Amino acid sequence: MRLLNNNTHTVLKKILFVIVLVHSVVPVYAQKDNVYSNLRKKYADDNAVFVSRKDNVELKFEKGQLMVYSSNYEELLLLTDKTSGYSERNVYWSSFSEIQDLDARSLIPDGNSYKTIKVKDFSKTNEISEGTFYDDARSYKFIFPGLVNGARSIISYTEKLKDPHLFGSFDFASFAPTEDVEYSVTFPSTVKIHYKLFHINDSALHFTSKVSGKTTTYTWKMNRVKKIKEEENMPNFSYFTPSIVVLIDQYTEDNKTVKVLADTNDLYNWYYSFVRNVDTSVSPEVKQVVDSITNGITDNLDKVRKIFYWVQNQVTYIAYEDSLGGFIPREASLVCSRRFGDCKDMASTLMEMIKAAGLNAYQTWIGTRDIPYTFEDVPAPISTNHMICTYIQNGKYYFLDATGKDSPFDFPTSMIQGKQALIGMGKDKYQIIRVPVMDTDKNIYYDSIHIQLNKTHIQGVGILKTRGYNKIILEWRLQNMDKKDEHQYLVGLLQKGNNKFSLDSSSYENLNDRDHDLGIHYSFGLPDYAQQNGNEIYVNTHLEKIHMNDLLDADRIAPYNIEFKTIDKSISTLDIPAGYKVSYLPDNVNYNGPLGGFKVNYIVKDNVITSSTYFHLNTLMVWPKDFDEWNKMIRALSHAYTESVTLAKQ
Amino acid sequence: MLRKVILSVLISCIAISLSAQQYSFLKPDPEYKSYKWDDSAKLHTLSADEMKLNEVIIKDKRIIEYYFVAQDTLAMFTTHHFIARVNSDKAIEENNTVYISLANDVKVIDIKARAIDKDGRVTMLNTKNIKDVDNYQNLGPFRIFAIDGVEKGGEVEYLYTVRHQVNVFGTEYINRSALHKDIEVDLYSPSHLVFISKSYNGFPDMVVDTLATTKRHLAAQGHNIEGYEPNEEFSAGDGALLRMEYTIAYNKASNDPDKRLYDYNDFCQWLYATLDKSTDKQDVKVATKIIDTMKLKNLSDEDKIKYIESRVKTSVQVREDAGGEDAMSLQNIFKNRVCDAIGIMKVYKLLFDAAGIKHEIVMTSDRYNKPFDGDFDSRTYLQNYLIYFPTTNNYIAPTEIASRYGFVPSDWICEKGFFMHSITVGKDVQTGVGKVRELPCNDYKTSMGEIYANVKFDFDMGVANLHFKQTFSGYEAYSIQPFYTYLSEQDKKDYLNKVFQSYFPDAKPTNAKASGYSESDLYKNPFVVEADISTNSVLEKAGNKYLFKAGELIGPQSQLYNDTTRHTPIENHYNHGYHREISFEMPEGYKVTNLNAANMDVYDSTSSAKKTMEFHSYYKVDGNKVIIYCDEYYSALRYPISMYQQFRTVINASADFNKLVLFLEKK
Repeated sequence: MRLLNNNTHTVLKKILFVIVLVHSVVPVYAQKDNVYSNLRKKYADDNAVFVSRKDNVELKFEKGQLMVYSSNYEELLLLTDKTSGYSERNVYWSSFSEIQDLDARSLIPDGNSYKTIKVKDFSKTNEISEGTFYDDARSYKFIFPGLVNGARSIISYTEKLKDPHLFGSFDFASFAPTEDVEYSVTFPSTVKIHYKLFHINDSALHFTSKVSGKTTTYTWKMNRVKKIKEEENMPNFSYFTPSIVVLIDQYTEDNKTVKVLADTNDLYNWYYSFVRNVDTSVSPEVKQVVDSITNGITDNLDKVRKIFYWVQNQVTYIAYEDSLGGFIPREASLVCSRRFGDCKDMASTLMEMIKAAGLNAYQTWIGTRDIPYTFEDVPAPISTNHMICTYIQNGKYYFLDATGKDSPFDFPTSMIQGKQALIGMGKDKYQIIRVPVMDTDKNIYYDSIHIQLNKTHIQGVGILKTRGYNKIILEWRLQNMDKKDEHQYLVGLLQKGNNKFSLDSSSYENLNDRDHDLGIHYSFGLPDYAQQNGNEIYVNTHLEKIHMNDLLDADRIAPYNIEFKTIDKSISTLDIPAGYKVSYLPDNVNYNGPLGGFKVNYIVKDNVITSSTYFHLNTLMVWPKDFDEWNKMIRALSHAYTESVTLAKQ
Repeated sequence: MLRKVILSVLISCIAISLSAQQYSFLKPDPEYKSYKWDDSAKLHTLSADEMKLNEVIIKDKRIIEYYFVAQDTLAMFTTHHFIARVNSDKAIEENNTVYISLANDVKVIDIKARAIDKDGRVTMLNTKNIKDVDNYQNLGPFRIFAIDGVEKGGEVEYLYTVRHQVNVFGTEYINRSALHKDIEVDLYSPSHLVFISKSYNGFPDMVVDTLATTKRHLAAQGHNIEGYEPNEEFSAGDGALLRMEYTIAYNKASNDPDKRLYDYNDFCQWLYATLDKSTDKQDVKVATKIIDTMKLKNLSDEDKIKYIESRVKTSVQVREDAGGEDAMSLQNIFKNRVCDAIGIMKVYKLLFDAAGIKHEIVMTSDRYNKPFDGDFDSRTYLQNYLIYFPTTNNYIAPTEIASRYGFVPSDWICEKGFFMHSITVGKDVQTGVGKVRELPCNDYKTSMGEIYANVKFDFDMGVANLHFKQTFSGYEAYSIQPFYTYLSEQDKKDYLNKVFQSYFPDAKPTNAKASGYSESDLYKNPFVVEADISTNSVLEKAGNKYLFKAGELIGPQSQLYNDTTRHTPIENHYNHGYHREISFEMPEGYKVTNLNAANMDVYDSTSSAKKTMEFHSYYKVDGNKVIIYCDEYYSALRYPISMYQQFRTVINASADFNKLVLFLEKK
C-alpha cells in the first residue's frame, strides 16, 4: 500500500487547509484595472501582493516621558482565487504597548470601483505559544469579509509604546511580496537616535532626511521586496531578510538628559535595574539545600557542578511571561519550593545557590541562535531572549543553562552556541563574552556493526555511541519514553538496510550519566538484504547511509541551519562466508571541502571486510553561496553509497 | 457546525420541557458538595512494575450531575478528581499544568490541587498560579493553573468542579495512554429525568444504582485499564478510543412519560419542521427559476444531480458563521454566495424538489470520530449531512466543497446513517420520517492509484532516465484533485517536486506537469502528474554488474513487518487499488538474470472466489523491452483482529516488492 512520505504529507496538509473559494461565477475582476493587471503579471507566482506597507513612527514627549507612536498601514491585493489564507489576521500587543485607532476593511471589486466592507468584529486573543504556560502578549484577531480575487484588504492602527527601550525594528519583507514599503522615524531635536541596516543592498534603498521646525524625519523606502518563504531548516528570517534597527541613544527633557540605548553600557544598566532589587540574600531554605548537596565536597568546581545538576534535575521549565515578570527573575527560595521556573528563574536560582556555597556566579543575558545580532550592533532588548548563569574560575567561563535538561556541566545548550553572553557583575560592571561553539569531535554519532551472512540474510550486533548534543537529544528521548514505546523507538533509531530490520535485543551503557558517552548495544536481523545472483552475492555494506540525498533545492532562498557541528561515523565489519572470496571491492572515496567532508573506506583483512563512512560537518549554517558546494559533497557521498561488494564462490 | 445549531435549539427548550409541574423542589444537595479529597495526602502504594512506568494514573474520577438549581433552572455540574504518579520530566510537564475550558459560559465552582514529593511532603496549589486567559489558542476562554512542588517520584492531585450550560448528551473518553489504576464515572440526574448510556471499546459499562432513591444514578468503575494505543496503523483513529456515550431518554414527569426524547425521529421532525417553516413562496419561485435556466429536461437524473451540485458548489460557500434568519432566504444565499449547513440543505431540497428529483436527507457521523450507532439514539452521532437519491442509489455531501456526486467523504460511509424524507401531513404541512440504514462502501475500482514508469539506463553516467507518470482517481485523488487548481504557480511547482522526490530523492524533474483538475474532471477523470527524471537512486553497481532497484519505482510502501500484538481491529478509510507498469529497455549486450523475482501473488484466502485483498506482480518480455505489472487491491474495509496476520502478509507483499532488485549483466 502506498506510503506518503513526510514531505508529501506536509504539502498535502497545506493544501487541505485551503478552503476553496467560489470561482466560476465570480467574474475575474476588472480587466480594465491597470494596477491589478500589472501586478498580476509582475507577481505571477504569488497569490497576493502588498501594494503598500508603511510604518511611520513618531517620538514625542508626554508629561516629560518619551512616548513612541508607530502608525501602521498595509494594503494587500489578492491576485488569485486562493484568498482564504489571507482573510484571518492579527494585530499584536503586550503589556508594554496599546493599540489605538484600529481599522480594518475589505475593498471588494464592484464594477469599475470597490465596495468597502469594514471589519466589525475584533476578538481579543491571548498569544500563548506551545511550551509556554502563560504569556501576557495579546492580539486582536479578525477576519476580512468577502475577499475574492482582485479584492484588497487594508489594516491601519497606531501602536503606542510606553517604554522607549522596546523600540524599534522593522522588517522590509513579509509573508507576501511588497511593491512599496516605507519606514520612517520622526523625532524632536532633543532626541538622539542611531540606526543600522541589515541585509540591504544600498542601491535598493532610498533614504531621505527632512527637517521641519524642531523635528527631523528619516525615511527609508524600498520597492519590490521579495516575500519570506517558509523553507525546511531555515534559521530565523532575520538572518537573511532586509531589516532596520533604530535605537534611541538619549533624550533631553526639562534640561535633564536621559540615556536610553546608545551602547552596551546603557543596555546593561537597564537590565541591571530589573535585577537590582531581587532579594539575593541567601535564605535558610536555600542554604540548607546547598549544604546537603555539597556536603563533603571540597573542590569548588565540583560544588558548582553538583548545584547545576540539582537545578537541572529538580526544577521543571515552565515559561511564564507576565508583564515586567518577563524581565524580573523570581527568588531562589520560591523557585526551589515550587520546583518550576522559566530560564531567568533557573538562572537566579543557580546564582543564589552558588552564592550559598560561598562562591560567586553571575546573571547573564543572552540571545539564542534565533537572534542574529551582536550586542555592539544592536545594544537592545531585541538582542536577547534568554537568561543563564555564568560561573568563572581561573579565567575560564562556565555557561550554566539549566533549561537544557541533559546537558553536561561545561557544555552550553546548542541554542546559545557562538552567541554573546552579557554577564552582569553588579552595578556598572559587566562583560561580553562569546559562548564557544562546540567542536565536531565533541558531538559524535558513532554506529558500528559486525555482521554475518547466511545466504541473503544478515545477522548482526552493533554499538551506537553518542556524545555531546547527539547524546543529549537521544538521552532525553529515552528517559521520557513510555516503556511500551521504547522498542518501537529503538527500531526507528537503529534501523538500517531496509524496513525488514528487526531488533532482537538492546541494552544501554551510561544512560543517566551526564559525563560519559551513551552507548546502545544491540543485535539485529535483516532478512533478504544481500542479493544472490548465481555464484555471486552482492552486499551493499553501507547499511546506514548517513546524509544520503540530503540535497538542497537549487532555488532555495534561506540559508540552511544546522543545530550543531558533528562527526557521524558508521562502520560495518562483515565476515566473509566460508567458501567465498571477495571478487570486487569498491574504491575508497575521500572528499574534503570547506563545509565538511567524508571518507568512505574498504579494507579486507583476516577474512573480514571493514567498510567505514566518516562524515564531518564543520559549519552551523550553509549560506546560499555554498549550496552548490553542499550539493556537490552530498552527491559524491550518495554516489559512493551505490557501490556493493561482490563475494564469489571459490 | 450542525451541532451548534442543534445545541442552541436544545438549550432554549430544555427548561420548559424537562422541568415538571408536579416535581417537588425538595431535593438533596448536588454531589460535588459532599465529594471530598483525603485531607491527609500521602503517596499511594504501587507495585514494583508500576513504579517503573513514567506515569501512572492512580485515580480518575468524574462526576456529571444534572441538577435543578431553581424550580425551572436545570444546571449541569462536572467534577474531576485526578491523581497521577509522575516519574519523568515529560510526565511532570504533562501533569503540572491544568487547563479548564470556560467556553459556553462555564463557571468554575472550586479548584483544589496539590503535589506530594517523593518524601511525602505536600505543596498546596498557590492561588497566584491560577490565571484566566480570554482566548487560549483560539479555543475560547480558559482558566489555567500550574501546580508547585511536582517532582519525579511524586504525585500530582487535583479536584475541581465546574458548572456548564445544560447539554443533554455527552461523551466521556479514556484517551491517555497511561495505566489507569482506578477510573470511576458517576452520572446523577433528578429522578424523573432518565439518562441512558452505552460504553464502547472497553470503557467500563455504566450500571444503574438501584439503591439510589432521591436521584437517578448511573455509575461505572474500572481498574487497571491501559489507555488507547495511539500508534496502531490501519485502525479507526478516535473511533477506536475507549468511550462512553450518554443521553437523556425520558422525562418521567411529563404527560407522556414513556416517550423517548431526543431520539433520531425527534431530530427528523425538528429538521423538516425547520426547513418547512423557513420556506416561503418566494424561495420556491427562486428555486424554480434557477432550475428553469439550467435547462435540465433531457438529462438523466444522475446528470441533473451532478449539474445542480456543481452549480451550487461553485456559487455558494458553506460556512459555520453564516447563519441567521436573514441568511436563510434562497435569494440572499445566491446573492451573498454564502450560507450555513442548514441553509445549504434548504437550497438543495428546494432545487431537487423543483427539478422533480426524489431525495432523502441522511445524517451520519465521521466513523474516525465515532462510528454511527443505529441502536443507541444520541444526537452525538448526527454530525454530517448527506443527500441520498433513491433513483440513482447514490449520494452527495452538500457541505463539502471537495466532494462531488458519488464521492462523499469516505469516513462518512461504510457505516450506518439515519435516512429521512418529508411527508405531508394535514394541509400543506410537511414533516419528516426516517429510518436507520446502511451507507455502503465504495467499490475499490473507483479509487485507484496507478504508476507508469518507462526506464532507460545510462551506464556511463550511472543513472536511470525515466518518464514517470502517476494517476489518482476517486478517493485516491480526494486530497489533491479539487485543490490543485487553487495553488499558486510556486505551490504547484513545489507540490510536483515533492511528489517526484518522494520516489527519487535526488531527482530534479523536468517537464513536470499535472492534468485532470478542472471542475469537469473531478472524480470522473484521474488527476495525473508526470515528469522526466534522471536519478542514481535506483541503480547500484557491483563490479561490472548493475543492480536495478526496480521495486523502488512503486515508491515507499506501508509495512507491518514487526509482529506485534494487535489491539484494535483493522479499518481503512476507503476501498482502493493500485496498478503499476514498470518498463525498461534492456541495454545492448546485457541480460537480466533474475526476472522471476518479479513474480509474486499474495492474497487473503486460499479460495480465489473469496479474495478481498491481493498483491499480484508478473512480467512480460517484448523484444528488448521488459514490462513488470503490479496489481494490488483492498476491497473489504474492515477486518477483525483474527484476520490481522492475513492482512499483514498482503501489506508486506507490496513492501517486499519495493525491495525487488534486478541484476543486469553482460551476456
